[in-house]
Amino acid sequence: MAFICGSIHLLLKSHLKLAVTTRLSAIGLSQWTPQYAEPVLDWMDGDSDGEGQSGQPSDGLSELSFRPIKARQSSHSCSLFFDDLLNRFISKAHLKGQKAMMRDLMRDTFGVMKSIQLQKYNAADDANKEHIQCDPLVIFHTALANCRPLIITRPIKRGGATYQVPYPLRLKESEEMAMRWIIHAVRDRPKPKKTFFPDVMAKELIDAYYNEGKVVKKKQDIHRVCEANRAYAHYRWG
Amino acid sequence: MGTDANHMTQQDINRAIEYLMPSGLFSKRARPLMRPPQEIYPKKKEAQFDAEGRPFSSFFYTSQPNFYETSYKISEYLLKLNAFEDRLIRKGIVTPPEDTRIELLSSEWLSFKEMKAKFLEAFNEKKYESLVDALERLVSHPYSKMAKDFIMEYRKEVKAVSSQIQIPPLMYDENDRPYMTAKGMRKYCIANVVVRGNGTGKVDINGQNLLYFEFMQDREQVMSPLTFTGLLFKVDIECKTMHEEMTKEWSRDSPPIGSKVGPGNTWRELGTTAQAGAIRLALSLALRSFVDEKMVEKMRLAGLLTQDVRRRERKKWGQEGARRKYTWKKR
Repeated sequence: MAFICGSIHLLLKSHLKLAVTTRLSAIGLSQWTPQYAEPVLDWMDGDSDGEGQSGQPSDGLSELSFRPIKARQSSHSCSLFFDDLLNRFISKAHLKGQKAMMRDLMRDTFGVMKSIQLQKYNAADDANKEHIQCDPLVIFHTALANCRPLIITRPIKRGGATYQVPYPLRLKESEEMAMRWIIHAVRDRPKPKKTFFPDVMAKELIDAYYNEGKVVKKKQDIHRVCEANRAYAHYRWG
Repeated sequence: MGTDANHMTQQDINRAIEYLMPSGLFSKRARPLMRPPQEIYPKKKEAQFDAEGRPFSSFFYTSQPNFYETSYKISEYLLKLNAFEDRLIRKGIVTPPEDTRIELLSSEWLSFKEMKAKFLEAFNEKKYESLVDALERLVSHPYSKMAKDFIMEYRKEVKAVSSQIQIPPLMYDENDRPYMTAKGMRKYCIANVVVRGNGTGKVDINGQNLLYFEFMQDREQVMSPLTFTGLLFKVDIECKTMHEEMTKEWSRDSPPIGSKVGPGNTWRELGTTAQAGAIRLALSLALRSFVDEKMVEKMRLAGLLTQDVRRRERKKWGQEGARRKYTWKKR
């Protein structure tokens, strides 16, 4: 960072009537200053007062009224079909900048998941039909929730020995871990890779939805190790 | 000079001096000026002690009396508020009633420079941070409203962002149809958009319809402001995108850097996502005139009205890229 000096001011043309200053913020080295707040992504249906999921007051004045807001990202559309978790998953899963390809692959994956579930649905009795989920997005969300580890072990060195100490995870951390495990389970499948990404990914997600499969097993193993090592939990604080 | 001597403003004086005493000096501070002395000469502290040499403030001998007096007052207020809270608890009021904590929504702490100008003494960033921490601690007390006058001395008013932006009114063409133009920018791409009301949802991007964009995400970007405001099939759009270099003045003899004029096609082509982003911003700005204030504030909070100023970071010498360093080798 010694090469970068000072601040870069970019003023828009006057008729846009907005002035934006960017500099390398000391905290995160992003091009937005710390005053800029993240844009609100979800709006609840029938939301006439602007009272979104953040629970802003109905008179309209809240902390965000006094702060400038960052620009909405290209990958975040205002469409009804936009799903933030799926968008994060695509960002994580794609390789070499080919996000468009990953979007198509996930679309195909959802199609395969739907066809698998529909086969089960058509073969089931009327009593069991209700319990078969056919919405791929719901299966995707539930699968990721089932794969999320709640605690993991981290190595801590005390007195020459390295102990595996259980640590709780934040929501975002555990979600990212779950996504990473599923992606690796599909990408690092044993060679020869005769089956294609949509089929393998669909199978993994459906297994995770029913709490079966490699990824859920990995999560359960980690939980078991944490339970076994709970005697070392006090090492978190030295 | 043509202006009335009794009604001269500072701007008239500046213009007169620029005309009468033209200066070619580069530094603006070195050029001749005529302003009230308070603006030119730095503010100094008034006399700190009386004729007999006795200082007014009991903190005079700390060499930074204003700062230390403020810190002392903060701790004094904290003790007072704690004593008040204890008295109420002894009476039986354990949880503080509503409306006893100070509300600081429409104000922010004075900046470091403003505090320094207020104190007019030696002041550094560390002292500023510790002062703000102490003030925050006072603010977080359940009965901090009793110290409101003192706290507001160190706060400045902040206007809501929406009140500072003026939305241009709708214009009408010869067919009495409402329309609005706007300009959006993203990464060297400029988009000029005309939105016409009473429409059926026609889209015209550089002469083609929405299929101009092959990537789905770009089409979603263009549709985003329309779906958000609910004007999806109610307005017609005409967009034109171009490279920023085209807007600058240039001649055949000195073409802009990296232009297509001259040997070698060095000008980078506009990317599709940049075009979609520029169109989205221009569309959002134009649609502000078609919707009410609440919807405009919602659009602002959704991030549709902010220009994305991020540009590609340059490569630095001694590194492989903008941030990536060369592989570290021990020997």
